[in-house]
Amino acid sequence: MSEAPLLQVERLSKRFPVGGRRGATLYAVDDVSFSLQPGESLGLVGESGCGKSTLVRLLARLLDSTEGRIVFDGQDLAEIPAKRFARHPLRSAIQLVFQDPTDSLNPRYTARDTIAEPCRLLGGMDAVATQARVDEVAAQVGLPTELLSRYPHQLSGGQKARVGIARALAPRPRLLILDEPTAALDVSVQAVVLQLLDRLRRELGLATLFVSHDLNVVRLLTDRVFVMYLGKMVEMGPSTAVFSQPAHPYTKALVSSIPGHGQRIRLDGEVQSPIDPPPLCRFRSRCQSVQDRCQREMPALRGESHVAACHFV
Amino acid sequence: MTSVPLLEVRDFSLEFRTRSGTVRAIEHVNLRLNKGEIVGLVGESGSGKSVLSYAMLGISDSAARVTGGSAVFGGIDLLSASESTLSDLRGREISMIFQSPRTALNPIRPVGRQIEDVLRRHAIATRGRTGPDMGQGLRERSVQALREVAIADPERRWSAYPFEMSGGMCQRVMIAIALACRPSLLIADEPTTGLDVTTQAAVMDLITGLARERQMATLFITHDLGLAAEYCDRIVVMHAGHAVESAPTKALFAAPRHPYTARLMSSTPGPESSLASLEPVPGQLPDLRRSDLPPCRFSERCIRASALCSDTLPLLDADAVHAVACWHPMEAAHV
Repeated sequence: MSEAPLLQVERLSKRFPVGGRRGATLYAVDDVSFSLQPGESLGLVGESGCGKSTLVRLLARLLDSTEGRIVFDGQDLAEIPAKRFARHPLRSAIQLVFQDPTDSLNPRYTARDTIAEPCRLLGGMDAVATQARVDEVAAQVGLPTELLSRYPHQLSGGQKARVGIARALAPRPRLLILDEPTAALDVSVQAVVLQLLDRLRRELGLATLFVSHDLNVVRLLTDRVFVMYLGKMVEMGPSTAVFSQPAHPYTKALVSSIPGHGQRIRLDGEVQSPIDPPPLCRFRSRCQSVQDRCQREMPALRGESHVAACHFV
Repeated sequence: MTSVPLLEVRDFSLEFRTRSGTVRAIEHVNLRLNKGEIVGLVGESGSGKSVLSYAMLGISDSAARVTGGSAVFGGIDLLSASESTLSDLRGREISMIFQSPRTALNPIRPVGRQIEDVLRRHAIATRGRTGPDMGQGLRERSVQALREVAIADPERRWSAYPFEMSGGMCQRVMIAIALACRPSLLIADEPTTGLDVTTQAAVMDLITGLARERQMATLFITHDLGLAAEYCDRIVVMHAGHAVESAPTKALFAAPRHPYTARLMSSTPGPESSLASLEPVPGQLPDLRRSDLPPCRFSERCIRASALCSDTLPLLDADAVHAVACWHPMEAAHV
């Protein structure tokens, strides 16, 4: 790629101390590196507890990392404490759309108040400019003006999702992080929101990180996909390649559990603990093609544009 | 079918009386379940699928009023049965798996004890009957129940609390509780919501595997058409409190006849679909409090609607193999 990446994540880790005096450590995100080009759409998949949300919070700078760099537009954001980042000029450049449109909207704010807040706080706009910006993003996300005076309980699920997206777009971000944006929506509404997100991404040239457990949705909306397992990147590559020819045994099992896929790979065995894990493949206890070597060393990521962390790919 | 169905719901209607008006949540629903059959009840939120299943168990909200119909299970009308009859049936003959295992399980009681509770309640109810299983100790039977849902090391897990288990594991415990007394009818209300795809597949395999093995009829409630397609023999589609289509799974997917079913299918992302091929269902669910609801509640969102749809209610023929409640159904499959 010739263009400079918008986001370059280098050896990012987040470890939480647990277990009091023994000083055990939970490896939530462990040595993760990847980059994101301007306008690119990256999917992040993995099961609950794999560290997806921790990674999202690190990238959105809501949580401080333990190690590693988050280089956004040439500047290392990992150095800035999360507390101070709230008032940093780059705060408006990275915005988040939350999972549940009901829980993430202030029930005492009208849709207009909700969308106006980031303009006021981050964009430094005056009242007139703020109102103009609210009307502009509302139109972008297809929210009729008459709905802007409503409170969340007066809006449908799809309308609330639009308010959440409009709020994130209001301060003109360059990176939009979407954390399961359609998980709480019905399929008929989900389809509209997915098409909206795709259109916005193209029109505004936004880079997006799309977190979801619905693999069919990820395949539709992303250029590349990143598979995470217990804090580690196990596979990354172009979405079409990862879904049609998964390389890592975990990805194979994941893809095979999409309903309607046919031949299913069952995952037996217990999930390894993320607390003080030995430096070995974390999938070894559930892997069907596990061999002696997996009990001795940690596999490195192999491949060029489509990488997988397995000794046997 | 010539045999008597295990559960026969006929012309069932239910409403909620609320301060803001009467919600006509379910109207004229017919539903039939045969022994050992796995039936998917599919619909979006607000379609009445959970309300229907709660009414079968007599655990509806206090604002609910059954306004008509019957639901006959083993010769008993569940809608008019006494609370003591129902509580003898619940957990023994009819069991339910709830949506969120973490909230449905008792957080301050070891999971093994929660299985024992069900066994004890119904062991008393069956006193005098000589069942092959009833002689064993409660502890042994509850450990066995955990083993049957493929929980590793069941003796040790018996004394675990729900918070010590993962979501998938809690759902297995729920299944163990529901199936401990070997019911003949299982109602599974979105049993895999909130679980990962890999866990979802394992839980669904477990439920349907046990259902087949024990000839247990299963009503599987879901909003996920793809999931229903994979596991159900027959699917009933609900929209705004009406059952709009009922068909064997293969026939339904080969050629959906109700315009709503067709739209629901085209809005669900599948392995083959592209963003452009997704066709959302136009409009929204109608407000069920409205007094001027059209007889066909989909007519306002339907491109095939005519004057007839807002005049006369199309009914689902309960005896047809592929039944559709529509005046202008899509073409039938050429078989």
